[in-house]
Amino acid sequence: MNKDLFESIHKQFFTMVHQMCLGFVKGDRDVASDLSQEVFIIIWKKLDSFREASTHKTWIYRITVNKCLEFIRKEKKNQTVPMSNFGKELKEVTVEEEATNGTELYRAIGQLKELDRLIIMMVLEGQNHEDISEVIGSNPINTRVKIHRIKKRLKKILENE
Amino acid sequence: MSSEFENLQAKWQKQKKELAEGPLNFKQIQSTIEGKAKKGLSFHYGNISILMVTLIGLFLFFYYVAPVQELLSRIGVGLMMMGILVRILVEIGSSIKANKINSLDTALKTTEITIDFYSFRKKIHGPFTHIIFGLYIVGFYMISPEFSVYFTLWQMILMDVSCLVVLAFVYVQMRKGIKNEMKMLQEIITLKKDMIEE
Repeated sequence: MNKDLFESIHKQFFTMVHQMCLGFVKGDRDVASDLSQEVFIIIWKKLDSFREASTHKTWIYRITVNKCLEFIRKEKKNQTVPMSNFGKELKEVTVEEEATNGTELYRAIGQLKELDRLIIMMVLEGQNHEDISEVIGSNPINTRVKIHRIKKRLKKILENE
Repeated sequence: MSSEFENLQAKWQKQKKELAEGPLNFKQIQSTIEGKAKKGLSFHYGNISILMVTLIGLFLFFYYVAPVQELLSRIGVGLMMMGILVRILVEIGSSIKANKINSLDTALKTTEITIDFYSFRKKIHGPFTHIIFGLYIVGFYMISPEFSVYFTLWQMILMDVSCLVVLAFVYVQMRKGIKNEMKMLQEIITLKKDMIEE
């Protein structure tokens, strides 16, 4: 295991992964921390098998997307909190806090479908539709159309809030 | 919409910056990750271990504590053990399928392999659950005549009824689990449709 490489990857991508997890779980910081830790456990385990067929960023996105989708499945299996209410149990935050910690944006993203949340967060991060289709495994043209639809949906959600 | 989205993007980046400002102790994070990476044993291995211990326990019980003499009883014990063995084989099959799910693949491929895993579970759940329970119940009642020589009628009734109650409870729990998994299968199929929709 190349510990220096892991450290450099962690430094470079931790915030990106953590923010994506935050958006996925509607701003719940504790769950997002656990989820990002799980992503980095996979990175730790599989770093030696990274073959540079894709960039580190794309590779990490794949792991993050898969882990987030797996998380939803696990949550539904355990059924501790109904998924429809998931994220509504967030602690009460003041308006000032909300403005700074971004819960409002994460909540809006959280109202999208699970896959759409992940796609739009990659778009917000500046990934183009080809990079995203490499992560999802879908056709780039379909991805472009999908991104357009998701943007519209997100706009509507934000307008209604 | 483009400029509105750019605003949103700027907000996203600003929040990212704020997140990055939080304190990070890499040494501590690394040791936590290292520790958890070593622990990661799958759910299936846990199940297989429990079933193996049950099988060995059952074998030892009928070999050392209550060695049954009649042929009917011996067949009964064999059937009970076979039921558990079938369940172990099913779990091994499941774990082989589960191990194919790889977080490094594209989301679509991971979803397809996950569908394959749950479809396998769907196929085996129906017939195998009934076979396993059937073998266990038939096996248990085949031992009853020989046991009745050593136990009173009331003890036998208590034993037979409690066996039924326990099996009914396990059966209901298993059916709940199966129902949950089938719901999950439907949701993953929908997710795949979302991924490939035009």
